[in-house]
Amino acid sequence: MRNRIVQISLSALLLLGSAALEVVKAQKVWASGAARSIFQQNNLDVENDTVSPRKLNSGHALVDLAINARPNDQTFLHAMVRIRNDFGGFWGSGVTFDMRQLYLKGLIKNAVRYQLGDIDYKLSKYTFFNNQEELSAQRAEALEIYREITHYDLFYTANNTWRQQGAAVDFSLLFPAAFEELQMNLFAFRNRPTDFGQQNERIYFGGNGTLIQSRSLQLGANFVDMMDLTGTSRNPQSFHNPVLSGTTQIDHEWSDHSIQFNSESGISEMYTLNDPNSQTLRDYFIDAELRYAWKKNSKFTVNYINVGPDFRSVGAQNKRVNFEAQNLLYTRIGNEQQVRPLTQLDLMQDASLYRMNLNTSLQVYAPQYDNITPFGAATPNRKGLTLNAAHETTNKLLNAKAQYRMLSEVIGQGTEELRSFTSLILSVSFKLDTLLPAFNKPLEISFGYTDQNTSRSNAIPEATIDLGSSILDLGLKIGLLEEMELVANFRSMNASGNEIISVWDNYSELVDYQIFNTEMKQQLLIIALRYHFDERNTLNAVWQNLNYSDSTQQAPDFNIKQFGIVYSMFF
Amino acid sequence: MTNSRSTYSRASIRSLILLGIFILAFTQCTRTEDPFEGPSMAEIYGEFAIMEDFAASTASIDFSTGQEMYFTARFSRMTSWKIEITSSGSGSRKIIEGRSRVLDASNASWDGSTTVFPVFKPGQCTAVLTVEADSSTHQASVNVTGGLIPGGKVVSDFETPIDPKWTLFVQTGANMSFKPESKIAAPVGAQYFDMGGAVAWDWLIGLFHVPQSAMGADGFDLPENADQVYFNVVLYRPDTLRNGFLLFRFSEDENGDGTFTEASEDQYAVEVHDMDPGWNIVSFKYADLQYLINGSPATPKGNGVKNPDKLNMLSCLLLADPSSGYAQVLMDYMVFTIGEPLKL
Repeated sequence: MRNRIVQISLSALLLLGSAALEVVKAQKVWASGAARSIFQQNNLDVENDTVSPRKLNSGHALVDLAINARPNDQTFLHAMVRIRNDFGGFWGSGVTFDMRQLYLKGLIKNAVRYQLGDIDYKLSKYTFFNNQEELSAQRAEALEIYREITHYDLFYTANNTWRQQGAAVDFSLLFPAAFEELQMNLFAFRNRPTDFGQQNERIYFGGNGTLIQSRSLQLGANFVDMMDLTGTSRNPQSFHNPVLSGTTQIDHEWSDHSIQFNSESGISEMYTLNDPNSQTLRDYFIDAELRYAWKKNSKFTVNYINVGPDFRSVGAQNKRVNFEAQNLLYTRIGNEQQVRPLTQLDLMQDASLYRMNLNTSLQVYAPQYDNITPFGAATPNRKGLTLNAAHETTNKLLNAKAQYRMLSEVIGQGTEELRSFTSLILSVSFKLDTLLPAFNKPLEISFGYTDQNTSRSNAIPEATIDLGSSILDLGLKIGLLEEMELVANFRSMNASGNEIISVWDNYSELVDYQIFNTEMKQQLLIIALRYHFDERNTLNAVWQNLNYSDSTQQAPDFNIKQFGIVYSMFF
Repeated sequence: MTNSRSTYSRASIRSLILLGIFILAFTQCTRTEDPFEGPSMAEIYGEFAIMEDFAASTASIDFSTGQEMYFTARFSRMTSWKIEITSSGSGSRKIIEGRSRVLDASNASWDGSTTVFPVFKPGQCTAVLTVEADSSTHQASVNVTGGLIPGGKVVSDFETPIDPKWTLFVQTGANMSFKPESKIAAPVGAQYFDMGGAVAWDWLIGLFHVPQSAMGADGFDLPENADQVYFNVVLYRPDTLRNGFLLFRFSEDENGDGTFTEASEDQYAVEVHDMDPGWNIVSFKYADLQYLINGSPATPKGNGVKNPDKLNMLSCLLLADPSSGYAQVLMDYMVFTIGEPLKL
């Protein structure tokens, strides 16, 4: 069977190749893609563990080969296949062949843009938005080597889109007076196919309209709805989650100053028709932000949010990380073969821990990584202020950012007392090479610090909450040669205290609590040598050393050392 | 300059009006007036006391006649609890866990089924309730006069030699064993089917096919509705061996010609990985099966509809990574049930 798949794959490749040649001939078809190869040596160290394998090697090579075709000026086709060979497979048993993405897009009458097939899409932070995963606040280059690969595999883009399948249409209308332009974006995606039995087809659709009055004023409306199509299976129940929001943007500039006001507010409902156990959850949110910038070097922001406890927005509250999943690397450790806890190392490089589909219920989160906005800006039951400040010197020597949050719950959980949340995020980077023009290579150091605290007092000792966590990042980048650099990062994480985690049922209703305790300590040191063949062609030799301990968990403390060769190329 | 200022001024007025509309719109939105959301903390974490002692609804029970019993208790607040029923003779155990203020027929009933095999047989049993809130334990006794009689269409309980109509294929490898055995206690009866071996060049260690002809004149005799049909089997993974996994295949004869045609008819499958050590019941709803290619779901080659009534052949493959060495899985009591998973 596998040999046949390999034969089919090779035939498809030949077809793609010959198609590519034809394209080159006609100047209407061309090939693009990416390739990478990774080989890793891992060494696990667990005290007194005589059961787990200590040394594991793994690796793969893959090619993403795309054929792009422009049959006419207004149509574009893209098809990408992935051929992956896991090292160690033989007789073709380690080879897989997949269609990675396929889409068609075009322009109708120079007015309406459309795309069919695989689409990366987003709207606002409260309607349709792929929030960054935990530990994304600091972006030292050494931390990005594996993270970029994981994101590429999962179609996570820099602008927080979700990869969906369906159709999207964009167009705009121009007005002679009063308003300049109305921009419309509409989409319909198939979230889940029917199984012809008890599972209905599920679609996700909506769009937004932005009315541009002038450079100073923009008004918008967003609408999304995830719903089941009854009649597509024998199940009469139909899930619905409509979300409607309005946005305002007001800009004003004078001399070296600019000020901007942004707001979004909206309502949501979540219910299941023909299900006697389903309650309707209905709530609203408000998000208002004032930004001030001076000389474009210094920026200050004040933000207020009030997101109701029953506000539900499937497209904006889905988590990337599945904290119920198990690591692929060293899944179980210790003589008792306990499940190994997730670590920052796994979050960077284990794509199996991540989701690509939108789920309808609120998902399990990890308070030790983020307890304040685990579901992004649309996290239910939060209100309060956020202050941001950022400054970059004109010569780029210094870039500094700070954020301080003071949030609380809107209503309590199981008690009238509210949790209060505070967080502080600091990041500073120095491009010292700007002071050393003769050095002519990168020389950068960076510092990042994140501190989160959650507290709630209560007469019942078990209901009292006191949880704190901190993350310290130290980064370094030194150019050794014109094409070669050394990048390094040390990250220390600590989380200590207790929390009571909400347990939601399948209808996203709070039904129970789970006591959570942590005394987690993690340190990760990454040192990498990076050689750039060109801007899109890089070879990395990466060494990592992770220490993990948590005295409140059953799994033993452990250390993982990893050495990896990572080659990546885009063409 | 004047023009720009006037544009901005108009914009400001419109902005304020629209902002006012938004604010007005959302002052009309209301939230729950409950003082808090979710269950009360006082009810879950308040002072704990046992308000009603642990007891069994009956002192004697005959599960073979379909009787059921339940346990009762009442606490001052919600807590997690566990009831462990142990047969004094065979060591059979039934574990019921929950989290509530009250134990009653809705959350603490027992139909004679087993969590830790072998199955319960007539004899005296002791039920021990462990309460998480105060770590206390409480006991009740039950005399089982008749064990649960499982229903369903039994494919095999492995108490007799393998039916010659089955097709058995065993690779040439080391320590190969595909035969009924009785070295350890079987969950049902005295024998089970021992599948094991080490094959260094292939994932497949061995397999068996059960054709419909082996099931008698009526074949598998399953209903049409895939949502009602469950495939069940009791599997055993040795403590130290976790490399073996099973692939069950369900081949359908959609055109009624008496055979399964791979190129044009559906073959649904399920893989069983990560089994817990010891004997465990594994159940799958027929409607949840998928067509698999190398373990990944794919489009079926037939009509794409799950037709248990057209099941032509049931196959079981023992697979393991060739580099992982000896693999072993034991099997007992393979049965199709209707309407609900197997209770043993």
